[in-house]
Amino acid sequence: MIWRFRREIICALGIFFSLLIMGKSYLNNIKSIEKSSYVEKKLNYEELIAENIRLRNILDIKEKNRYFSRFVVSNIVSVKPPVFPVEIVINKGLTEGIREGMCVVSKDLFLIGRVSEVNKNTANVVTIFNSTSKISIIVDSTKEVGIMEGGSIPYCILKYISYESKIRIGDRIFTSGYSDFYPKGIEVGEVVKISKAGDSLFLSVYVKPYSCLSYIDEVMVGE
Amino acid sequence: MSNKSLIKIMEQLLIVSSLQLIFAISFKSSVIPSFFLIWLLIITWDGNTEMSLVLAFVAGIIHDLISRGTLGTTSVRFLILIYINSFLKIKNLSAKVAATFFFSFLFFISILFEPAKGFLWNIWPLVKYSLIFSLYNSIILYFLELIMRRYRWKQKKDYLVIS
Repeated sequence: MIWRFRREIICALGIFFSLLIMGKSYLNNIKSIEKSSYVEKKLNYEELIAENIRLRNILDIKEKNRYFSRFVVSNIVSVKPPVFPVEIVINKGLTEGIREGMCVVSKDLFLIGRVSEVNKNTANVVTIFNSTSKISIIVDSTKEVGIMEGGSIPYCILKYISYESKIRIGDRIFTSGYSDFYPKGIEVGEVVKISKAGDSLFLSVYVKPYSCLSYIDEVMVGE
Repeated sequence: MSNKSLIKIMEQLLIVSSLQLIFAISFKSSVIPSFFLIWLLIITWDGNTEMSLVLAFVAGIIHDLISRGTLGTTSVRFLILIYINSFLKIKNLSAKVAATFFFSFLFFISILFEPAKGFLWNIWPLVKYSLIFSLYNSIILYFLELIMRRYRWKQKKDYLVIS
């Protein structure tokens, strides 16, 4: 009797085992999908945390800002050269309202430079290390005004400080506000070396800028 | 079934599996012929119905392993198709080609019921691919049958000459 239905029995058994295997495999597939979605969620969560930190930093910058009536927070795309950069490219341009001559400061509100060239979505920034950079500054302790020039990496040279000046090593340097580009009171750096040349009426003062000393990823461009 | 024929079938299974694997790896096309299905149909038509059902289960598992589908789904498809096919007593070449086309079409269209992928609502591309798949299988079966018939005829002729 059973032998007569052997074909049906083999087929039924085959289907039964196939369904059994199918069920197991299906559950495993679902588990692996759930696992991968969990990993994806975790990655998203970490990304959200990083984004949150970044936004908080931007908010901090906005709260600290006391120099600009209008500013844009921007990321750095490239730095030339990587150490003591003379030129920086940022990822904001004409579209975001960046204009030539706008002042660029770091997240800690230390002077970096000014915008020299603007494209549609990017802008070039000339830093204080650049040899073409000339900034009107004021010495915090003596209130003397001078011109800070680039081109002497790793320092900047402060010119036109009188021979009789009471300037000392460690004095802080700020922007004077006499320039069209830089608002008054932005911290630039501190005096690290003072030398007196033989016949000159002025001192050669070396300033160590606060910015460009550590890694910069975000800058504030304002006017 | 004798040990000799069992070994022969195992050899065939190995060859067919290798062929299927080579095609699956080499051809990046969305449709590749199913050597398993053709082989199972031939075995059934040769009269080894029970063996073909057992092999349908094994071949289905191997097929799923090669195509990385849900294990067991192809076994169910093969078993149902081979069970239906076991009732057909086909000897004619054109009838075999037609049956292969029909079963291949049924096999491919049954992807509609793939549990991991859900129900495929876009039926027309599936029908198009089913037709291509069926055509491939039918052509392969046609040439295989021609080769096999020639081989058998030669064997018979040799046997007659010797006797």
